[in-house]
Amino acid sequence: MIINSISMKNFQCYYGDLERNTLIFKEGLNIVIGDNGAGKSKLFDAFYWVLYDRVFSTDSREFVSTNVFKDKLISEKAKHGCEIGGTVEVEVVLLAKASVGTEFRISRLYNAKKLTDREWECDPASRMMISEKKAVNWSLVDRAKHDSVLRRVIPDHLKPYMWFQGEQVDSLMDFRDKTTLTKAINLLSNIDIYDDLMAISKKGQDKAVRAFRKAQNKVSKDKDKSETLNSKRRGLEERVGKLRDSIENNKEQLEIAKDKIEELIGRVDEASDKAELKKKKEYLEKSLDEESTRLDSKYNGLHKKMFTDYWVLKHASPFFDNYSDKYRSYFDAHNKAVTAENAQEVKLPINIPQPIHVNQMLDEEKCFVCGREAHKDTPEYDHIKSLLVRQEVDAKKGPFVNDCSKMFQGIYDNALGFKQLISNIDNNVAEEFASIHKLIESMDDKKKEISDIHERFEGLLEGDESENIVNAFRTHETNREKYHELVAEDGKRLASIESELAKVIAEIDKLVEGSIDSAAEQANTIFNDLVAVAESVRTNVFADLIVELEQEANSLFKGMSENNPAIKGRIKLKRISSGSYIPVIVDANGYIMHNPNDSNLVLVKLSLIMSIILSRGKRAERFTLITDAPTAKMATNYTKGFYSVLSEKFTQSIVATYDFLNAEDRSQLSGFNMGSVYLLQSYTPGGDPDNRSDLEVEIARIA
Amino acid sequence: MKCDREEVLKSYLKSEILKEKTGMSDEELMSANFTDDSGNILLEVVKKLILSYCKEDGDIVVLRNINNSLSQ
Repeated sequence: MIINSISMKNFQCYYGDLERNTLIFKEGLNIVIGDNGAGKSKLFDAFYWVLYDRVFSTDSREFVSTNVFKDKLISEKAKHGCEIGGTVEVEVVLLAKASVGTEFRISRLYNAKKLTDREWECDPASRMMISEKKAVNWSLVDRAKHDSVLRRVIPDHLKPYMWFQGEQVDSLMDFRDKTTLTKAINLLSNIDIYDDLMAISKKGQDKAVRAFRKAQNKVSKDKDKSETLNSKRRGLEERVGKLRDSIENNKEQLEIAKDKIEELIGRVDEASDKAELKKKKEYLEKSLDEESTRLDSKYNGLHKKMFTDYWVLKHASPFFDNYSDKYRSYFDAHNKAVTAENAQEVKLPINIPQPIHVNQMLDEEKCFVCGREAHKDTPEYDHIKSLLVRQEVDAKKGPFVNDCSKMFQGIYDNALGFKQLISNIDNNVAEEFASIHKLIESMDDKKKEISDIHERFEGLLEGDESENIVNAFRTHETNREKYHELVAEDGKRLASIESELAKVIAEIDKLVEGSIDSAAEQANTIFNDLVAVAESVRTNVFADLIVELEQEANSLFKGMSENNPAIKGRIKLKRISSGSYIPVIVDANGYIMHNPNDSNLVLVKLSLIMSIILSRGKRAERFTLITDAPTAKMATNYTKGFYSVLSEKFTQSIVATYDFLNAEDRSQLSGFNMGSVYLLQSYTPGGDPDNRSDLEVEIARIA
Repeated sequence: MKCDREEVLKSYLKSEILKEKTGMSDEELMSANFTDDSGNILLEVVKKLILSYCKEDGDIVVLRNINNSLSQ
């Protein structure tokens, strides 16, 4: 909704009736200008009070409810002017209009009766009334619908980020808290949809798994054993969960150590050396990671090669030779028996080679028996070829009850093939281990180079910084190595437990006799797949959101800082291992910039907050940004950029500020999409500026 | 409606894991919609999940709708 106006009656410094203290707003950038003490913060309080019955207490630095604030809510002048026994009425009215044209009037009333000059009897609570304009008449909105109307003005989860005071920006985007950015993103973006879908999928998965296990147990041939194995399975799954948590924690510590190292390297003054060393270090670390992955793959592959490359047959040669000898004897005896039984027109000499050898002779165009050449289309070639044509011995007429000669021949032929493979195994094994050894050597070389680079960084630090910094560098380097090792070790332990878990699950599956209820089985599979899909989608959507946010935040940051050439750096949203993202400011070389000035930091924070609000959901179109003194910590040169962005990106914004007090400064606002401009001035008509009981605010509309 | 169901479906259809689990091609996935039956159980379950959620059904109802579609 767009806010049309706010009117105040005897609300804090705003003495007088509603008409006297009315500000009318339009779409665009609405500015309420006032010096310190002019009433800007009380105006912000009025917005908060009318909707939420709360005001900001400067004593406790927090929003407190009306029944805590009590008569401090009331204008001093109104209190002073009230007779004893009389009542002062406090009221704030907000008029807002929805995009479809519906108008709402939200008012809050609070009365206090004067008992003595210092004592007041206040209402136990304020009263809120909401009316809706239908056609030309106003009608009261039912109390049950009040919350719904308030949410249309500003939803609860958006309120901290769209209605804020300048001093709250730090806590909204506290860079010391690693979860602050992710929390804001989770709250303000539509990522909650994907979180919900993931959660529902997991609920479904839990139910499906339980139903599946129950169905599986029903058809187990040993239910007791099934129970025991399932208990073991649950234990292993729990250990897997704990190890995964441990790995995440160690990864986060590793990131912290790496960040600290980056920070310290960033302090080195020798920029060119630093840049070169950093580039080389990054290349070596990346290369080392790749080689480590390749090495793991080779080690894992060694087991597979036992079968895919027949290494398991390495020592099988004697067995093949033994078989060959026996087969030859068998072959001779077999042939003799066949020959004796059947007279053949073509008697095969005893040393005629097997078909495999005949084919070989034909391929090579050479007789292996006598060594003569036998080229194609020659009589010699034809003779060899004729040996392939044999009269089939009628098995029924043969001398054997069961003739296994073909089977034995098949085995013999296969054995010949394997012999060739076996002869190569030694070479293959040697080559594989040589490549592993070479990889290990390469990795050791790279580790040494990286270590040398770290020593050089230490040397550069020693030149520029104190011994403490160098010691800190060494400590974080040690931590980096330690957590790197821990992550690797935990990873191996996890792989081992997951392998054990897979075996237990396989054992459970083996106990199944008959068919598991197909519906339970299908549901189990589908929900497992659904969870995997939902998790991956959530990750992808979040990653895309981060890319968008980073681009938008940098665009806003550039827009806000373009008038100040002293500002350097850009915003980077850096992923940490827990899946959270933290904002950092990096320079042109990608180094984290530490201890940026306050102005720079405030701009970065505002850019991030606004980029989150502006991403998706059309919030900037639907809701008003209201802020009090947002530029309090900014240098003057930044403020124009900030207002420019507000006027461009938000359908309506209302800013209370002490900027543009000078008419000259207000000329900067030309070209902006402007709403109303007001000037607030607090004054005492009696002329005594210290007389709080005479305090009023003059509201002048200047545009 | 709680969310733009078309936008949510689009996010799911881009998933490599969904492509792997369904065995469907990129073209087949991109042409999926809430009207036509894709013939793939997992994809139909995804659509049911999104449809029911975006209609602001509670978790129990969403899961019931999914289980009903599985038993069909």
